[in-house]
Amino acid sequence: MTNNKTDAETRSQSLLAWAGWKLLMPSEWQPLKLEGNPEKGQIIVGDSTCAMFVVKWERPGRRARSDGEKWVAQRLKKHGVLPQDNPPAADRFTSCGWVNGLQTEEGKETAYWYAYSEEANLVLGVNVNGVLPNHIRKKIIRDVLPTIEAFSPEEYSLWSMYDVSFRAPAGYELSQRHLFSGDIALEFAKNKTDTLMMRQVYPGDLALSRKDHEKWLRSYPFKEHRRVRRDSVRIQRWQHSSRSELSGIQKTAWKRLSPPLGWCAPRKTRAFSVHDSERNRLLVVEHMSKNECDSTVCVNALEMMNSEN
Amino acid sequence: MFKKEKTIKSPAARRAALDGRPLQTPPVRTEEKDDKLYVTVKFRRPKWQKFLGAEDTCQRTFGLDLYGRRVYESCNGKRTVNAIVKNFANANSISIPEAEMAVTKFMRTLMMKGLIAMEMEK
Repeated sequence: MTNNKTDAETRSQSLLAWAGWKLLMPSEWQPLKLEGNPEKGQIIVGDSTCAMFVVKWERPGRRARSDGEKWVAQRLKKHGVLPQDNPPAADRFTSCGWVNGLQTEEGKETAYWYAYSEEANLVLGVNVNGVLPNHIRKKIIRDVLPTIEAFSPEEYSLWSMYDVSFRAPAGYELSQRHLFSGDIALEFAKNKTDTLMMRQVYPGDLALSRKDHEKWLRSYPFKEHRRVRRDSVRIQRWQHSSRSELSGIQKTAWKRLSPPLGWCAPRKTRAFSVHDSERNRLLVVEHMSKNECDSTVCVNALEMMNSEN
Repeated sequence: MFKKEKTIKSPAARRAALDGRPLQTPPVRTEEKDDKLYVTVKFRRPKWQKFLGAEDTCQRTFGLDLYGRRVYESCNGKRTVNAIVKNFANANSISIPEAEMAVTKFMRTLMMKGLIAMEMEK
């Protein structure tokens, strides 16, 4: 019975992960607005009627890294309040502080939560909307804030919203994003010579009824300067060795700049377009590199898609 | 004078809309072809067409793909929009906010084309 309850609770929550942090929130809520980049930015979370809370993040420079506790205290001082005891998720961060029940207008209260993680080199802040009814504010404090975690980018980076998740290998940083309902794509770059694009389109059978795998591989979601050299294209069918639900095609090719710069900085590319029949999603991965593109990077990216949900 | 009035979407209005029960309007005929459902309904012509001498009503046929068909067929006057959204989200492994956006937008189109009508609680 306990297990059933836990399963039900898991289904009723969805994972939101971005730029080195993650949290769980009710599945009816969604990110409403996303601003910034992996270094500094904010996400406003809410439902179709109003904003619930905002998550702000920033990666401090080397000088500011030394004293996270001071930074947290300064943030709270700006609000003109003293930090309260027992901030949620304090055990997961180097320093953490919060203030709850700060009155904004008659009968309405807000909460501010700040934390610093030395391991992830990340400062985080959550501001709860001050005009929310008390039961929703309490829900955020009880169910959402304790689930916040920051993770070190040295292992991998996790990106998740709308029940869609991606895991980028260490060293790859988010460079571009394409977030549409039913079509989510992220592009990561490493050392200016490697890019890794991951995309999920759903429902998968609908996507494939409109365009086949080859056409999906041709329609890159971001603007690119290089074009595929047609005579270098090799396409073959692909089936995952152990997961029978993953099948599609694999394409290798050279991408070059338009003439007369075709000789300059060509890139080798390996792309997969795969239908995940279990989740009914079309998964597209493309790895472009100056050197040889190993299929391991793409296959790992495919395997780790939606592994968190 | 020509300024468009702002429509305020309050949480109460949204809840009322989600509690509405959509039902199919009686079609003139339905036909299945190539995995698609073709629904023919009577359509009231716009005033300008009538002014130019056209008849009051005409027949129009709309093709629904697998997903559109599922939503259309679940509009039976018994299930609420909310229930249809949740069912659609579960059946297609998508999040509820995304399903709500897609289903409500599609239902609005169906209503505009006269394929369904919405029964609201008083």
